[in-house]
Amino acid sequence: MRHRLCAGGVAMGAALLLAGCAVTPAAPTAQLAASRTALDQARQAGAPQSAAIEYSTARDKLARAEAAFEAQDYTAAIRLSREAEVDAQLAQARAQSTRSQHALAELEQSVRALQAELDRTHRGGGS
Amino acid sequence: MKRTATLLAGAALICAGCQTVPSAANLELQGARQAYHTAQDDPYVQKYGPVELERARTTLQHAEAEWRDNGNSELATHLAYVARQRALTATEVGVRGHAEDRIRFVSQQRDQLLAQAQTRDLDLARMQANDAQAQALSAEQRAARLQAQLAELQAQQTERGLIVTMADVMFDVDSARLRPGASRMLDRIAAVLHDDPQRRVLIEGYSDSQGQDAYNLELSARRAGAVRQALVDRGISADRIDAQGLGEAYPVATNATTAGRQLNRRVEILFSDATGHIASRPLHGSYGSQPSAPMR
Repeated sequence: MRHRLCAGGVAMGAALLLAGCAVTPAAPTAQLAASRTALDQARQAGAPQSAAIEYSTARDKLARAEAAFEAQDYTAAIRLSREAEVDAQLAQARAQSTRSQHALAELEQSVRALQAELDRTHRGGGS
Repeated sequence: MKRTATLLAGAALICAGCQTVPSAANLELQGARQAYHTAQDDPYVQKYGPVELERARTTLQHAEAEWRDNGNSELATHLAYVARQRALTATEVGVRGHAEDRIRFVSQQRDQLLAQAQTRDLDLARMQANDAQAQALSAEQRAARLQAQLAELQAQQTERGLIVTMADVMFDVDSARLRPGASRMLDRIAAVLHDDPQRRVLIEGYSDSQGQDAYNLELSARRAGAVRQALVDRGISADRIDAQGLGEAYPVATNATTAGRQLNRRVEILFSDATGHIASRPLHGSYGSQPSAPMR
């Protein structure tokens, strides 16, 4: 964890120094791995279907990040990769909130039906 | 790439004074601020997405700092974008938390309704079972009580139905006045009629063959009427009781002997079937050796 923070700090520092083009940032291997994990989790949450735009944006950015990584453009790689990660996290969160809302709607529907059934039998049986 | 970044950064620095034209970083930053404030104001984000909200806040701070220090840099645009996506993610986490809150609440509601429905079904079933049982019991009890009462009344099953015979000794001699000893019997007959409201009775008075036919007929009718009145006095509706005098018709024994004549002086109480129907009289009297024509 501390190591990751250090790496993050170094990357951030490197990015800030980019204006001067003085230092080449370290290879963002950890960031790329984190982005792939986030994309996997989004896919498992059903994001390709229920948050299609966010998911495909994340996937495209990860592909571009990997290409930049291959080209050793680590600044672009780390930024694209980080954007891919937050895009994937948003896609996952949207997929999950959509699923919960659907479940809620179904439940509410079933309760309404049950209530109506109870009202009906109450009127019918109460006489 | 690096060169364009450098150029852009340089342009941004140069442009620090002229902020009338919104830059890419500025636009992105505005979007991030808006998304962050929306998330921050949402109580469900505060409840369910504090980690995501804090990440958005930190990144937004970095973006603001980069913007402040370097103006319209690619890094500022990038950080603002990340901040915005994190704020939107926090909002979605809040939406999900809210929906799941509601799911828990509505699930409880549904469980209560299901319990209600089950209780009601059980109540209904129990009520129906109780009703059926009560009816079955009372039918059984009624039948048993009826049998007991009829047995005590020494009712006889005949072609016409159940007949209870009140003997001559129940009346004063040559009179329609009922003796006190008749009370128990009349109480029982009234009890049967009370328990079984569908049932009716036909009361028929008879005499022996001695004396004037007209007198015999009149006395038998008065005796039948006295029994009818006794039952009415015991709470039985008059329209459930028919009474008639038949005189010396339909003897049950010989009129040649004292004992036979005593048997013929009687009042018969004929019970209807359970539906209130009384069968019509057979053509011949029960005492076959001395058939008499029925009086109409």
